[in-house]
Amino acid sequence: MSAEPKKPVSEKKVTAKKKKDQLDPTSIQCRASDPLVSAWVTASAGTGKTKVLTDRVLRLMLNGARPEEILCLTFTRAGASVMTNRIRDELGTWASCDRAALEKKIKKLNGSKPSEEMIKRARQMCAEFLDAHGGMRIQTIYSFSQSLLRRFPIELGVPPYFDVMDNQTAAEALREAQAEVLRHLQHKPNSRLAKSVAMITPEVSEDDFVSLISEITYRRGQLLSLFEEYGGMEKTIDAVYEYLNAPRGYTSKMLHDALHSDQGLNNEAPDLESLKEAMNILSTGSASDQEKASILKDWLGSKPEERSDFYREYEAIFLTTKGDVRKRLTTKATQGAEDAMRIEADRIWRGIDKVRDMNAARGTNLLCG
Amino acid sequence: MSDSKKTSSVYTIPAFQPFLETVAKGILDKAGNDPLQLADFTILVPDRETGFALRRAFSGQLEGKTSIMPQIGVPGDLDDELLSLKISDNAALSKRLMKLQPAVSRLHRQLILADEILKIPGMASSQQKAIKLGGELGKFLDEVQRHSVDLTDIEKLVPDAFKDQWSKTADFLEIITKTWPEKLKKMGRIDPEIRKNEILRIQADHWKESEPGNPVIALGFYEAFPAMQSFLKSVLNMSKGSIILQGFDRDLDLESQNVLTSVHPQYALKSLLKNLSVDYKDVQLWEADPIIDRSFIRAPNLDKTNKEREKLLREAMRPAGTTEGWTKFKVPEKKTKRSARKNSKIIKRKPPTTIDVQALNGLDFITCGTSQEEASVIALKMRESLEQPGRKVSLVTADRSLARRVSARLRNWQIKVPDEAGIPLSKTSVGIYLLSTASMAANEWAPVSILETLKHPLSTMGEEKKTFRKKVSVLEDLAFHGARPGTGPKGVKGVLTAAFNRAARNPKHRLTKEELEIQKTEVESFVQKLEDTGKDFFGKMKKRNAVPFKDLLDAHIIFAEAMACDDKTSGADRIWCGDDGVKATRFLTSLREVSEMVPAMTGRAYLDVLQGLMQGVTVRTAVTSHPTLRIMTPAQAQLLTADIVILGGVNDDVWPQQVNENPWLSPDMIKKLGLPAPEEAIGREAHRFVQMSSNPNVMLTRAMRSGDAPSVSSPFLTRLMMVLRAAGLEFAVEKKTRLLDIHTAMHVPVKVEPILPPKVTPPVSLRPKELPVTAIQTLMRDPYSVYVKYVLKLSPKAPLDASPNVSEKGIFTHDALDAFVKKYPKDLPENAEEELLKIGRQTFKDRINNPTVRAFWWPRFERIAKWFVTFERERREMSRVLATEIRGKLEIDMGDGVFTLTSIADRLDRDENDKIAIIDYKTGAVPSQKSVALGFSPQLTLEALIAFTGGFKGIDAADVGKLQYWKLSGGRPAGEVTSLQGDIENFVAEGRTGVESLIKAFNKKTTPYLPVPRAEWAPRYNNTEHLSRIGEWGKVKKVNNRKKPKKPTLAKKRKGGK
Repeated sequence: MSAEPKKPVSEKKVTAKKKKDQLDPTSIQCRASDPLVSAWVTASAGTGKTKVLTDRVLRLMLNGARPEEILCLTFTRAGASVMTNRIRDELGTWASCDRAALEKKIKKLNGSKPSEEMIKRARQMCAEFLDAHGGMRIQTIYSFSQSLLRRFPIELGVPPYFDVMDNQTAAEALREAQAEVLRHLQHKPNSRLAKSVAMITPEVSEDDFVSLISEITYRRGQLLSLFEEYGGMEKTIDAVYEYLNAPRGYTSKMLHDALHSDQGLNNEAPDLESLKEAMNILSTGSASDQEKASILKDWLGSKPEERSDFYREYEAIFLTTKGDVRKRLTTKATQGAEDAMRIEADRIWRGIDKVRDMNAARGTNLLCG
Repeated sequence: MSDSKKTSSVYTIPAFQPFLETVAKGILDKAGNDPLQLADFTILVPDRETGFALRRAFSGQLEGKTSIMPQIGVPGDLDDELLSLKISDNAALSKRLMKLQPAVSRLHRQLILADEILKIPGMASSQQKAIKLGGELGKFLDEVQRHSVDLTDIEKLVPDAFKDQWSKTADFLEIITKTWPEKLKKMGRIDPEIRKNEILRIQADHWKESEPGNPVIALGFYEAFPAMQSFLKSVLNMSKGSIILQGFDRDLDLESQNVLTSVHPQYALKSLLKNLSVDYKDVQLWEADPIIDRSFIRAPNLDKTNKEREKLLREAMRPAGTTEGWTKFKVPEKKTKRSARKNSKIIKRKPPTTIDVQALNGLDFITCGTSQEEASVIALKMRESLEQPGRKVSLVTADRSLARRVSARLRNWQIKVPDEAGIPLSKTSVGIYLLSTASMAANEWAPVSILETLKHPLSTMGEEKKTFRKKVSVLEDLAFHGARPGTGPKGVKGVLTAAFNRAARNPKHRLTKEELEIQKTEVESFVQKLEDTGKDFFGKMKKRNAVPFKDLLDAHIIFAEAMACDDKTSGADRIWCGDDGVKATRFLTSLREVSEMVPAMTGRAYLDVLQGLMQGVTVRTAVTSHPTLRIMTPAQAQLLTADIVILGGVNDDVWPQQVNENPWLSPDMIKKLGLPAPEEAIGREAHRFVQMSSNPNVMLTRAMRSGDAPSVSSPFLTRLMMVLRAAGLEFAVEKKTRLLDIHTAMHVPVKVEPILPPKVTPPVSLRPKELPVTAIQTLMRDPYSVYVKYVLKLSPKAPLDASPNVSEKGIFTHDALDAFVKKYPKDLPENAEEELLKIGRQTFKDRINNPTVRAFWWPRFERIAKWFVTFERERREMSRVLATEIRGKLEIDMGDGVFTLTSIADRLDRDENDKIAIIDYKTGAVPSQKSVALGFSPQLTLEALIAFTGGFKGIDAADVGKLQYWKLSGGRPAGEVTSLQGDIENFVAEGRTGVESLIKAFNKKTTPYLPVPRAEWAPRYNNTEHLSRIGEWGKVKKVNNRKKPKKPTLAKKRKGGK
């Protein structure tokens, strides 16, 4: 439908074009509703997407398709109802309007004058459509999937005659199940599951745990196929470490220690000399410059193994609380320190990024382990 | 059909005739109008309800004359003894009957099937689900057997391409194709449908050989399975046998006859006739003129209306293959100008059909917005009809929630009209009572389950109702609000002891010591009595091992009865009465009969099984509950008449309902097996629609929305509208708005005015003269909360079975640290961390068994302990602990009296400069420096003020050097110290002016306790929002706020005032 080149058209032209669309069976809408082509239609609200779909259904039926051979899926119940009602209304008109009007309608839709046979068929389509219970399916994708599950429960491995839980019941059931699992684990502290739960629960709050587990249950299909792809859980964890290029067996403290050492992380050593210079320049600047200078001084003045006390303050000079590099590291008066500060900021940012990757990988390990 | 016989023993009664009345009158006519001759007739009806209704119809037609009723029976329902008596002269048939094994009860079958289902992994997640699935399998078996279908060779029906996939289903179905028949054989029983079919055949064969001399009439049969067909055939073959159909359309055109499909209302009747080898032309009209009250009929010419309505409905239901005929109507020219103009263009054809506008006399359509509105309109219509005594109104709907709504609306006017479709036993009062008593035992007195039992109207435990209720309410407050007690009576007793100990220690408790003592004895003996009453049952239900089902059932019934007796009546008499009680007795009796064959199970499984079974038992209210008003399903209403018929919920997927997916067989297999196609259900509903829409007074209603989506109207209704449109009658359908208008007047307010924020100004004498420092913060952020807590003296009740909440976590941590620091005020021991953890374990007590506490709080506490001990060791080299959890106060002179500011400081230390450090442990968020500076978080500042003035007990006035929050989150880091920056003396001075002006302001009659005067400083937790109804005026206020410049509030004034 978006095949036509977009041209800025004036208000007047739009109406003119609209008229043309109505009269011209080769208009875009008509092309999109041609049952012989596959079409992908995107358009803004109210521009006639449903009409294209409705037309398509009508044309399919007009050209001999039985209603039960057609499946229309929507994402909302409202969408399904609107579409059903539109098709019914149109077919209702076809069933009762006079012949000339019907011929005109079909010609507009199908592009050619209808045969006697087609007129008769058009007249019958309404009742055929109404009779086709469970044949012509216009429904949401959810109810369609459900009907498949209901029809083939054994094949698909679900209990026959299952009930569908609403969201609230499901949330309650999940909570209940979690409590049950946690309670159960108290009796089996040495089980693998107990160990892995014991590793996670101190890291997340009880509310976050619920959403975490919900997320995992929700995506269990994806997770399982991931495990399958990489040949098991262990290998998937390896792949995550590899993908993030995260070192194994490190804690975030170890990485922080390295980052603040004279050697730096990943052989990216801090330029201590330039930093000293920057400190000197900053100490002549504004109050905030001076504060930075004093933190720099403390940091530079301590032995690398003692620097752990200053991590937060030191990193906060360069990074925002969100973890981005600060836009302003120096003021006008202390411009001279800018380059050295910028280089250190980038180094710290990369280091923290590595810590984040490592944490992500470790999180995966905890969850899966 | 034997050719020697007359060809005319099949009759029909048109849809617009009241069916049973016409039948009765016709039979009476045939009996020569001699009521005593009626006894010669044998009448066969499809079900018992129809039988009752027919008897009533006879009495109506007899107009009080004395009579002997004809024999009315349901085929196949015949008592064995009666049948054997009838066929006693036929040796062969007698032998067949003797050989017939007794039928297994459906309940028994369901239980056994459920047991088999549970043996297959993944088929059912619980006993309850297995029971449900067992019931469904049973129904499937019934359906298959009723149609005399054999499932043994079912695999052969599957196309090769699907063999593999289907083999799984086939394996599962072995439960009914192999396992079940073997079990049945061993039991020496047969399935109920098989037995019923054989009885029908014996009866048919009997009549074949010895025809009764008196007339036999079968009526109201619509569709027939093979055994019923041969039975009906035997009726037809009698010289005096006849069949009366309901609403067979003799005038349906031949073309339509030939193309009609299974969704057509005439489809089943057509196939019935075909199976009985009766030509449709041979169906005669059953002519009779029943006596009916016509005073309510609106149509001026009823015969004409009936004829036209019949035509209209026939056209509406026209098979799809002939609907091009809809355009052949002759449209009345004069009706509207618009249609006239349109018609002028048509190439005129011969108009073979017309439908007169009289078809619409008495046929109303009402389209409502929502189903609530629809229910209201229907209820109004029913209520209105009561103004004319004797007028019978039936609501017929396939939508049970609509039925429930209408019933509820009528109840508002003290009119009791139950939905005759009935409800599952598990949802009735008695059902709930039985399930809750079992649940209380299975869940070992878990708060919700025990209260469900105790608060059920049937529970009285041998006492007078009122006293019993009082005791329950006391027990509830003491034991079940807040954290869950330990399991069983022991747990509850433990909680009670603790609660009474606490009450005894509380000097401000509203009860005196003596009163508490009395209450204690009373409650404890109550709990003891409850324990004794159910001892046997509770014991059996909590066993981890399986207990024989029968033992559980018997113990349950004994407990339920003992629980239900009051001071006058026995429990049995109170439970087993009413519709639900009677049904429950019947259900439990049949369950008991098979209980020895049910495998042993645990208490939990027992509850599950009971629940599953009771969901499948339907309780119907006695039909005669209201003399003129009824609410029914289309199936129940089909053969009955009413003066006004309301067809409600005429929407798609409601009427007709969506056809259920058959999980066992494909449509193709269904067809090949000879089972009825699922669509036939639609044809049957269409027939009901036509029948009921043919009544002289019909109101069709539907709602435009269902839930959150627009609805789609029923295809039946859409077809009707199509024909009206085609016939040019669309414009003749009146828009009925009167009832909707009444509804609007009753339920929609003319004007909606939101309330304003409350401005409570209690007299000064009632305002608090003492507040803790923590309340000062609330007084600034949300004065209304202070009003609720300290003026109204309301505090929230803990929820039932409360899950661990944030404040509880704070209390544990505080208490543990307090105890630890108190124990080691100077030097920490070697194993300080271990010691702290030990203290922690004591503080957490039973709560540590809660999974959440154990998994989430405890590891955090462990980290807090580690951090705390490390930090503390270092700290104590510089400073020493002065006091923990110490009370302090400050008196403020207000001119007309003294106001006391109180405080319990978490901890006071003496720092290296010999100044006091005030420390507050925070397990939640720490107030920002800004909010402290602005005075919105004055807790530490005010505590400093108290320290300055020497208000802390046993601690001399001294300078305060540090104000610190210790954030103890137990996260990473586990602890963090925030010292307030700035000049403490200045803070304290500002704090003093601030609190004084605040207290003085609230010491005036004119100062209102406003709820959340400044949204940006709203407290984080607020449990009075529902009382101040902030949800109603909150939005309004925000709009105002945006328009006006910010008003200076107390906090700002305080700053400026300095």
